[in-house]
Amino acid sequence: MSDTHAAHVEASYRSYWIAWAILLVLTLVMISISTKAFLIGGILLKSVIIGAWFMHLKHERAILIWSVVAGILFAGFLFLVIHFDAGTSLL
Amino acid sequence: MNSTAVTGHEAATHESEPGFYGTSWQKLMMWWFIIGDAILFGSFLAAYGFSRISAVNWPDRTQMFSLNFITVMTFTLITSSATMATAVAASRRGDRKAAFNFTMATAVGGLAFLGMQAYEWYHLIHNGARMDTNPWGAPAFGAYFFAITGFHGSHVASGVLILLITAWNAKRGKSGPEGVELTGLYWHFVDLVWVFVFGCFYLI
Repeated sequence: MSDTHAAHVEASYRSYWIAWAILLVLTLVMISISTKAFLIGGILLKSVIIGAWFMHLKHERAILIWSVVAGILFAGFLFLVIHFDAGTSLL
Repeated sequence: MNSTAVTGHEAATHESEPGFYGTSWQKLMMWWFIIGDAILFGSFLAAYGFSRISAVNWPDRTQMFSLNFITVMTFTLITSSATMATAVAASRRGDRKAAFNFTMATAVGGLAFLGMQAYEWYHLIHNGARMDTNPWGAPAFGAYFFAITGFHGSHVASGVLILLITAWNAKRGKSGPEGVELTGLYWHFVDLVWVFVFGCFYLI
């Protein structure tokens, strides 16, 4: 891994600012389109971009990635299990 | 305890062997903290979502917020995340000066965000929003709004402090690449939480 390290760092500079541009554009698109399903998709897409690029999850082992994803899914699950009692359908 | 991990003093002197998870224990512990914190914010937002969909007259977001202003706040935080990622890359490359500058730029972004949030809170409180009442609808709105954005804001505030310490340590060579990276992980997480808060309060 240390052999490819220097090349990896050079490439990452550019990829961070590409990720930044994508996040800004995505934010602008989300403001103008207010469909609930689209907004939820946009939030999840932004999370994946931040997690994979900024937090380097795409370079981590699968076990760490899935540990993190499981934590996030659990947070979503908390809402899903209680929302039925609100008497309103979700989407 | 946390400050040792964040400043990366240990990491700079002897990086531990990657274990089962393929990372050092310092980074793994930061990830465990982030997962725990994510579940905390997840619980907050789940409770908020429940109250909101079960309320008869939830306040209309377009009446309360200036979306343009919140968008500027969002841009500020996303940009600070990009400068942080650049600081981490610079530190890995051994460029201490760039690591210091970009970490400081990130802290400035965080402070700007906090200033704007203070202004937004002032604006809402001025218009009559309180923890237990507000002029627009369901009283629970105030409690959820101030608790969740306040909790996020306190994360930003402690993040700025950690950034300043990291910048100082990186400049003196006390904080190596992994120390800067751990601070980065925390900062990106704060940005990530804002993606959810921004979506759930201001867009949906």
